Amino acid sequence: MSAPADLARALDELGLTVPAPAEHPFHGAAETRWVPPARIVEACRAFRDAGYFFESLTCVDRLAAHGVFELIYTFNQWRLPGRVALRVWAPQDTPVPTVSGVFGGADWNEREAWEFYGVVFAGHPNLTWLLLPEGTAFRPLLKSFTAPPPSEYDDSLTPPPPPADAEAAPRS
Amino acid sequence: MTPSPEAQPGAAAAPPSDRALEGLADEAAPFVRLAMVEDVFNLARANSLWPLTFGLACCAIEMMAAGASRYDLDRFGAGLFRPSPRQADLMILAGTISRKMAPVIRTLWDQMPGPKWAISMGGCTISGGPFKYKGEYAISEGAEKFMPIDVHVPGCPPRPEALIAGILKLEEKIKQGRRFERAG
Repeated sequence: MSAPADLARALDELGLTVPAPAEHPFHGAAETRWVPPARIVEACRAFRDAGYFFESLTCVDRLAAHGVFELIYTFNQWRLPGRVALRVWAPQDTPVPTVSGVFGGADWNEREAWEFYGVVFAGHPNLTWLLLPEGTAFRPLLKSFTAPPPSEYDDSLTPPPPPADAEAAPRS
Repeated sequence: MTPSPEAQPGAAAAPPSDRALEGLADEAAPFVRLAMVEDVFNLARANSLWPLTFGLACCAIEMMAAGASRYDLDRFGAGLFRPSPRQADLMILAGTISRKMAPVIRTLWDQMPGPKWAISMGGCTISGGPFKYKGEYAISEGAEKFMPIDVHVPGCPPRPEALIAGILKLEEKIKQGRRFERAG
């Protein structure tokens, strides 16, 4: 299996000609290509013009071996069977351009990758915590992560003291 | 009450004697029970608990089953799930509480008007349940850390019968009255 001819031609014109291992049995991608981080937005635009939708964003921690995060963008469409994926090796300290301007649904995927791995997406409209509490300082899905001990968390949610002019508590 | 035809407006009736009142009480005994107002209120509260429509995880499926026709929480007056905390007086915490969700639950609890009660359903809301392990970073270890709980229903998840048993236990607790006033 491979990508439809029009999409393959568009990707070729962008110079994204290097195939990456497709791993079809694992996530069903018919074709996978390597993309430099700086060119991910125009690659996504080619997918959108070919009628594809953004399916998911996967992040892999390859910091120990290669010093990069591997980002796998998967795209699909409803006409033919055939998922197509893009792979990006993003160096740890370099922000990756956001694709949320092309595919709005990528917004939350990028927030998730940011909060769990620390991948910074340049130009993202709202790069804040999605699933973890606001202000979480650690990146739980990094391989180097060790969880703080339970005593570090405050589960009591101690409320702020009521204002001085608050009425007496209702009888209950 | 309609006044009897003999009663004239403005004519002050003589207060009935104690003996007459006793006779009246004996006469009415088969039909009338006298009780403290608070006990009557508690009886009404216990038999018309309105839970908040509020599920957190898989326990909520069992809670829904308890409310549906096979188990039928309406038999005990607790089947009227309200979509607004302002109309509910029972919070059934059904499911895993993540640390992201805990402040939301606390807000909902604070928005419910008193008198109000809470049932923690399942291991997660009691102690963190299966999520309490070394290295865990996202799940709150029990609802009782941040709000008061009246009845704990253990299980993973508890069956609908267990939830119903918990609600009946809560009804008993409400009908017993309260020794001290509860703040808030």
